[in-house]
Amino acid sequence: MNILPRIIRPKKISVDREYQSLIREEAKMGGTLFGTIPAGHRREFFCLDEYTWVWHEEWINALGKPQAATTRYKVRPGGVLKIQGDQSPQPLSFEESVNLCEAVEAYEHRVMTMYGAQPAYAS
Amino acid sequence: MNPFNSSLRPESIKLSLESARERIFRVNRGSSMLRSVMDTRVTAKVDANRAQRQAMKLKMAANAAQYLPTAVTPEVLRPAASNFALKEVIAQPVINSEPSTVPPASIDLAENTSSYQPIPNMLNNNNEVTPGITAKVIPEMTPQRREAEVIQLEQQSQLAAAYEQLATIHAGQDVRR
Repeated sequence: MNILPRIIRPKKISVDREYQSLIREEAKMGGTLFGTIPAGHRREFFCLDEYTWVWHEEWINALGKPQAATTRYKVRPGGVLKIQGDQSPQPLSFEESVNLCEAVEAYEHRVMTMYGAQPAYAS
Repeated sequence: MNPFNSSLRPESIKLSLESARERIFRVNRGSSMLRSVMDTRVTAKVDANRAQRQAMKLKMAANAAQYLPTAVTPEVLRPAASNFALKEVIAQPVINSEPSTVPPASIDLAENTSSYQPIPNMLNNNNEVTPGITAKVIPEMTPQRREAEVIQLEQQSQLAAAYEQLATIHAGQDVRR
């Protein structure tokens, strides 16, 4: 009986959980990059992988129902595509591109500071 | 589990470091990839905004340093060029002496006025001479014109008062030096 997977697997799960918990921490920090979060809102912004940046926001609407919006920014060789919910991918406008770039730079700077690394861009 | 908790077990710390290293790699790569696919105009704008923010930060730091207490006046936290500072620092002159009743001897009024020759047009006792001022056409004084002149006179008097106040302040500064 091969016992190796039994030994390795728990560690792998643990590493995955660690990784996810780090993303959750980053997402909380990323949500604060865009100024004050309105009361009753929960905002997250994070780097899912090197090709995907995610903006997620949850809030309670006027009728008291919970609402959520998730926007994914997919980095492709030809440019960045914005995907909101089930809608088809849309190219970014100039202003949104500038804002995304600045947000990513600030995010990178904060993450590097968070992990004690040297940020690439001094802000 | 909070990866930043200092009470983590050693193996968890090792895992955190591995995960953190992985995250740093992903974020760095994601950021550089985003910049590489962005339009040149976008990156130029981002760089310009960053430079502007940096300049603003430096300016704010310089402004904050200006308000820091100095060794000379540690309790005064105001810019040196402030009018409030001048008003508080400059001592107002106090006049204690009585005014003199003796006229100054150096000025001889009779001598100075001996060469005075009034011009004919200003003589009132000579009826034959027509005052020159009547030769000019005086525009009729309309209410609007009168009001404008009053405003102008008021502005002139305010200007004169401000100038006088400024001269007093400068004199006070000179006395202080």
